[in-house]
Amino acid sequence: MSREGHNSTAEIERPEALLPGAARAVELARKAGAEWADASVSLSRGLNVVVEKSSIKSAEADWSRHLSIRAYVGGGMGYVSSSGAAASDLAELAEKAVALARSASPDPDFAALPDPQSPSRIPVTFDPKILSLTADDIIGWTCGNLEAARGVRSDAIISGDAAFSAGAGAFASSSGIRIARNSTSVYLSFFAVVKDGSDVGSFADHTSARFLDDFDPSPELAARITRRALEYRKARRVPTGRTTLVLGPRAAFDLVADLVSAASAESIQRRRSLLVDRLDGTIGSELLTVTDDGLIDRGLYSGPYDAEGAARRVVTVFDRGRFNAALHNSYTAHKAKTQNTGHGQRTGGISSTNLQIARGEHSAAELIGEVEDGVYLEIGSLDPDLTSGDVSTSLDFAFKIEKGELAYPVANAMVGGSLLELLGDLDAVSADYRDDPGNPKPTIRIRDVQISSEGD
Amino acid sequence: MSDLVRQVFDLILPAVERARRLGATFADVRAVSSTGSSLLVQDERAEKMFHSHSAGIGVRVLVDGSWGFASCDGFDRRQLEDGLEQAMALARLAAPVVADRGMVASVEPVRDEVRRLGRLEVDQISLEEKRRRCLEHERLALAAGEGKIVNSMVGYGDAVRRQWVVNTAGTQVYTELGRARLSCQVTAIEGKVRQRNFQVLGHQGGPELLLDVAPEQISVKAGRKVLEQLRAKKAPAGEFPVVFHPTISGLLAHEALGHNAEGDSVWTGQSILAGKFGEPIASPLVTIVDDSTLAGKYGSEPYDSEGVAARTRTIVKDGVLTELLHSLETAGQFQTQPNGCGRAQDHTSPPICRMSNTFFQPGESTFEEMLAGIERGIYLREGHEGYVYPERGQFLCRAHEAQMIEHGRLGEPLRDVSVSGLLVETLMNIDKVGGDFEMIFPGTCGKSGQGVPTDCGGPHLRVSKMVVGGESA
Repeated sequence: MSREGHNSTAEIERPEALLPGAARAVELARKAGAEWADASVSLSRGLNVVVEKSSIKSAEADWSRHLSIRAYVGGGMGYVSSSGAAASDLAELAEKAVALARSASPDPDFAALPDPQSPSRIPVTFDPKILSLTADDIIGWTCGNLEAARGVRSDAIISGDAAFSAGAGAFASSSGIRIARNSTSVYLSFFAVVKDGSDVGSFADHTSARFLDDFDPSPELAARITRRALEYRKARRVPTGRTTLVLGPRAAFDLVADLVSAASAESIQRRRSLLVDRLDGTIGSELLTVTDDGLIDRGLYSGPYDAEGAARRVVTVFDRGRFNAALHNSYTAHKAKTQNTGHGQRTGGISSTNLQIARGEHSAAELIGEVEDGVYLEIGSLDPDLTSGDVSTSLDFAFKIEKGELAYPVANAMVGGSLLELLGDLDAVSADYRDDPGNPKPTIRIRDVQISSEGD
Repeated sequence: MSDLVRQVFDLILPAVERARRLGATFADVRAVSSTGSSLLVQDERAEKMFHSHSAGIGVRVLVDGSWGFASCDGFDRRQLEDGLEQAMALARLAAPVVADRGMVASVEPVRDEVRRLGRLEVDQISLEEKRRRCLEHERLALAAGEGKIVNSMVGYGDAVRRQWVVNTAGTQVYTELGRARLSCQVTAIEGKVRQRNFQVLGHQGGPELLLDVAPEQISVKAGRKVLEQLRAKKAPAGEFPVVFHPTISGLLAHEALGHNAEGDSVWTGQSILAGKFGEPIASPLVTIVDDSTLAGKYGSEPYDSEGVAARTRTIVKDGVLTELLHSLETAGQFQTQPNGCGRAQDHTSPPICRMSNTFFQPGESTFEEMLAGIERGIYLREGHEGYVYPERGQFLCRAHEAQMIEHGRLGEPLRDVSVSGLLVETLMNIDKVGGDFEMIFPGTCGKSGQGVPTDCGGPHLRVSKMVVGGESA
């Protein structure tokens, strides 16, 4: 597939060609009166094959181009974003951003946009092999997986999609930053439903990577998902009570990611995070160590700079149960008189990157094997409220553990409690892990968790 | 018809004809342009002001039972032609491996042009005035919070979306819709308890929302509610009778039933309602409707993204499943008429089956009748969010606040409570439906990576037994 002309793949291979547009936007914003300004120009190409009812349903392609300008006057921010704008609109958009900034309230906590910096290393994020993939490739992967699923269960209902994308972006700021980067990604995702009369089992999983060599499109994915869906049939209610909860790799990672979100300096400075006033304090078991590292080669969330052009830093957010460091953008770092960690977003927020969870000594099987009576949650976050820390959520893909083994799937059960109490009761992290690029995901175990289901 | 409206039709109409000549059995082209502004007031400062604009075209073709889709940014003839060629090529490439052949219902062509921008256009209230009103809302929220609020945020946004839809059936529909949304979030602390309350109001209309909303409906309400939450206890764990306030009964209609009634989920067998058409799936007290015609409601649209007119869809009538939510494709698959549920987030995505404004019809019970006979139960208010796994009918509804019901009376306040259930079991267990009604849950519903505006509501409801995600037995 190629669409040479207006949107050539050459622009993705040479992102520096986008830099003049970003720099021009900054220049126009400054000319219109911005004290500080930055601009981002990005374009992306994607191709997606959609699976529905165990068959390919459609093939879809998109090209998009996006521009955003931030302007600051007196510390107030004006932000303009545009897709599909003509180059001739640039001056108008820059003036609009400045006019918006003028209408914002002055903010004495705003000092400056980031200065040019070099990260300690530059992670690789672009694989030309992905850019040269075709629709034939992903249709082939998809068909192979669908056939494998049928081999497990001929009437399994499979949905999902297979996709690759490539993008390029350029960033410029009035503080002198000029950055041009590109990146690629590829993924396969399937959801299987199996039915025996009114008894339904289902399961979902995916595989994704930035580099083709890290990507396994083999049919085993859909076959494995279908086998797991079969195991989720005959779900049963469990009694309400306190028990041990084992979080499988995906559920454990989601919980840790939620916790890291609460470590946003923006949420903490605004006093709406459950981690307010807890820096350097113990917030969980000493088995809990989590590092945010956006500089890992080929990591799913890697990149040398954040969305403000600041160099990313590796941050150990939680160290042996202690809240060690918050994630900062340029605004929060200045306000706290500390170093910017390079986790800023365009619209002023903060986001994490790749997360490294320190692992233990025993295997996940051993962690489960030691549980006489408990519940194993395979997919789904415990979804804590990041202000109160309250947990009240459903266990949608979970098994009952009996005598150290997964006994049967659980129906209509919930978990309740407090996130910090749950983290305090964390008593094991596995040595083995699910290997998603840049984000290894171990299993974790939490004692004495309140489960709600049958009875009260 | 304005020059701009005509110019865009002139741009996209030839692509449909060209798709037919190239061998498409069906094709549609949507041009979509959205312009919006928003602002964020936080901690007594108007600190961020936003403006966004997007424009682009999505081309969808059906070739030999295979769908191809391509999207491009901007309204550019050459990009549109490239997109059409690519959509055709992709459809042809996939056609040999498409087992469940795509189709569309045959429909009469529609030609219409509808503008619903509201009482005021977006620039009839100045940015300065919008900012002033948001700051005033925040001030009132802080005053209501009696000094316990440590963070306050008021957000306001309005947008106008212009959409042109043409297809090979001859449909040419232009819609111009305004939407506005006002929200207030406050965080308060007392001792070691930290709580957050979020209120939102929105409509299909213009910035008059800012003039029409009284502080008691949003900012003062948020300030008062968060104080109540500070004093509230955590909910008990286990199974209890649950009474739903109208501010959360709509979430039950949306999550528990609405997603399961989407035609694509039923067609693929991934909804628990597959094969249950015409069968009882709920208590005879239950009637659930999805209605995109309601004037000013956040989920309303005069036409869907396939150019099918808005209408009222009675999904469940007296407990019986009577209607599904159809796109052109699922209407064809089920050999019925499309009913205006083919919605797309924007030009980059094809339309899929979606809800609009979903609600329980009121019944006859009083609130006192609902509480009567409950020895120990939960009264849920202020729906927050939810989700469902349609294949199992397993859903979750999360509430900001709740109250214990003990011996038929309201008791202690509770906070941050979620309930879960199985669709048919829960709908069958509805044993009281109130005579009141509210619909104030404007939000964005997500499905398959696409978000569309929806609303939901209903009367008070009582479910005889549900699982409550509490902390202590």
